[in-house]
Parts: sequence; C-alpha cells; structure tokens
Amino acid sequence: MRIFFLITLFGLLLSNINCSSKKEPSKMQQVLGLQKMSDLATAEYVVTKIIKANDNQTWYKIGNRKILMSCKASLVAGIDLSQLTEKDIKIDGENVTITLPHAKLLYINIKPEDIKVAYQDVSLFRTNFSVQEKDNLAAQAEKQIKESADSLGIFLTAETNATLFINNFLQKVGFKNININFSPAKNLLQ
Amino acid sequence: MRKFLQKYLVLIVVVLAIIFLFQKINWLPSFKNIFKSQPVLIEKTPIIITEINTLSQLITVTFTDEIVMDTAKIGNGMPSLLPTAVGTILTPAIDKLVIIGRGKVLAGTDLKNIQDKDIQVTGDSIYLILPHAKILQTIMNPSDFETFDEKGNWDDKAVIALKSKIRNEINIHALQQNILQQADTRCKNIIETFLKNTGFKKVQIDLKN
Repeated sequence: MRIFFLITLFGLLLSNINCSSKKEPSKMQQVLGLQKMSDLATAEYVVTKIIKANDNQTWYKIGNRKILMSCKASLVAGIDLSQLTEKDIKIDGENVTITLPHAKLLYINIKPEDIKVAYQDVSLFRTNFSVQEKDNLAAQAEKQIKESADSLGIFLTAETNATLFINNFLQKVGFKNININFSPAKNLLQ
Repeated sequence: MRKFLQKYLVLIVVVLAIIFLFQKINWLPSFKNIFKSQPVLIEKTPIIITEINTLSQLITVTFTDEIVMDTAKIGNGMPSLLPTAVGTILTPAIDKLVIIGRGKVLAGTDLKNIQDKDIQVTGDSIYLILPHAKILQTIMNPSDFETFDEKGNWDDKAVIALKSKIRNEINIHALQQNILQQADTRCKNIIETFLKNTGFKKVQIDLKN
C-alpha cells in the first residue's frame, strides 16, 4: 500500500514536469489591408539611442559575446479627429470654441538603415549575433522608446502644434476669435 | 533488504517533493528551464532628442501587409555533392536568408501645403483646394521582422537591402489597392464634415491639379 502511494506520488511529480512546458501565447493577429483613419499628425521627435547588450547569462555557454548598436527613431504624435463631434464645436457669430481630444502617439518608425552595429565582441566558442537576434535587441529598444514618449514631452508639443494649426486654419476661413481647449480625459498611448 | 530499499525510496520521494515545492514557489528553476538559454536583454540607456519637427499631416488611410522575401549567395561553408543525370557534381555552399516583414503604409494629405489662395469664403459658402494625398510613411520597425531561415553569414548591408525590398513591395501593394485615391476621398470627407460643423452651409472641395 505504502509503495503504491509512493509510486503514485512519483508519477504525479513526473506529470507536473511534463505539464510545465507551457505554450507561448501567439502574437495577436494583425488586420491586413486598408483601414480608414482621421489622425492629424502635428509633432515629430527624432531620437537616438544606444543599444547595449551582453550575452553572458546562460551558465553552460562558454565565453562571452557583447554588442553595441545605435538606432535612430522617429516618434509622431497628434490628435484623432474622429473623436471630434458636433458638440465639441461651439459657434457664436465670428467666435468659435473647439474642444479637441488629447494628443496620442500615432506611430514610431525605426528604419532598418537607421540601426547600425558599432561594436561586436564574440569569443571563440560562441556564434555571431544572428539577424533575428539583432532584430530582437532593436525591438527591445523600440519598446523602450515607445514607453518613454510621454517623458520626452511629445504630447505637449503635439497639442501646442495642433492648437496653432487649427487656429490658423480657422482664421483663414474667417473666424475672428478662436478658442481651442482640450477635453479633460487624457488618452496618451494608442 | 526490503526495509533498506523502502528507506531509500522514501528519501528520494521526499527530495523530489521538496524540489517540486521549491519550483512551485519559484525558489528553484523548473527542470526544463535549467538548460534553457537565457534571453539577451538590453540595458536602459538614455534617449536623446536630436530633432523636433512641426507637422500638419492628415493621415486618412493605412494599409497593412505581410511579405516574405529571400536572398541567397555563395557561402564559405563546406561544398556539397549534388546528384545529376551525368553523375554527382560538387556544388558550393549556399547561404540563404528568408525574412518575413510586416509593414504599415500611411497615406494622407500634407495640409501645410494649403495656401491662402486655396481658400475662398463667400458668406456661408466655402471653396477649398486641397493638395493630393501621398504616401506619408511606410513603417517597418524591428519588431515587424521575423527571420524565418538564416544560413551562413550575412552582413548588415545585405540584410538592409532585403528589408528595403520588402518595404518597396509593400508600397507597391498599397498603390495597387488605390490607397492614394481612397486617401483623397477620405480627406475631402473629413475636411467637409469639419467645415460644416463650423457653420458653413455650402462646402466645395477640389484637389490641386
């Protein structure tokens, strides 16, 4: 009886080991094809970043390999005009008041030619960084840049530029007093 | 003898149970992860702003596509024997690179190009001439690329050339889908709605010749 219990327990442990191989969640399916937009891009920040990585964390790999890359990215922010409704525009003769939605990050663009390997050191027992590995490192940099958009101040610049653009446009079409403000709810990232 | 074996069996089970518990509370890596290669993570480095530009671009249509493209060259590896009708021949090693690229083409109108003479207002009627839509940007970021196959050594120049070919192909596909015509129509609709909301009764919009 005791031996039977022990064998069952051992079997359970083994089954747990097999079950631990979880499948990685698949990438979210992208919608391919044409899509309608209404984004007014008003600010572009061009930024640079050094990508520094050291592959020495796997205990059984003999030797080290490190890489230093530089990348240039373009961040574009603006406002989504589809959120602008009739009730956001108030007209009183030659005076107009518009409440715009807050600026958001429209896109980030890192061109392949703007990623450059500056230095690479691979020891004798290791293989060079593959194309996929370099892309993965650059993708991490892309994520870091995207996350830092707010701290760079791009949203404030985008809102200031949007105000100036709409102000000029409305002046051209004949309005004398133009008042532009932003809706209270803030929506920063897409 | 039986008692001796039983003692060892209990000891093994106890040790395994402890390992199991420690793995459950993440004090020990799982058996699978012991030989798993650790991911290479980049350090947090500062982001430097080099340029700030003012834009007035109305993005009206996006086109998303996925392209597979490959390239090959004679490599430095071991030559291989290829069986043919006249016997086996020695062929050089072939380096191959297959990349899957997902890209987004943004089309729209650069409203900066609207000049004073393009706007004519008469009472509650407005006539506006808009510039034609163009491809504003083709976005293919590092996270949009996947290397499906990589044999041999590939320098950055060759990889960039292949990625550029993918980008050009996506642009061609976008143009084949009449992205610019659709962007023109959409831009006219957006501006017309905006102007009507600002009180204009009659709005006429044409595109620049």
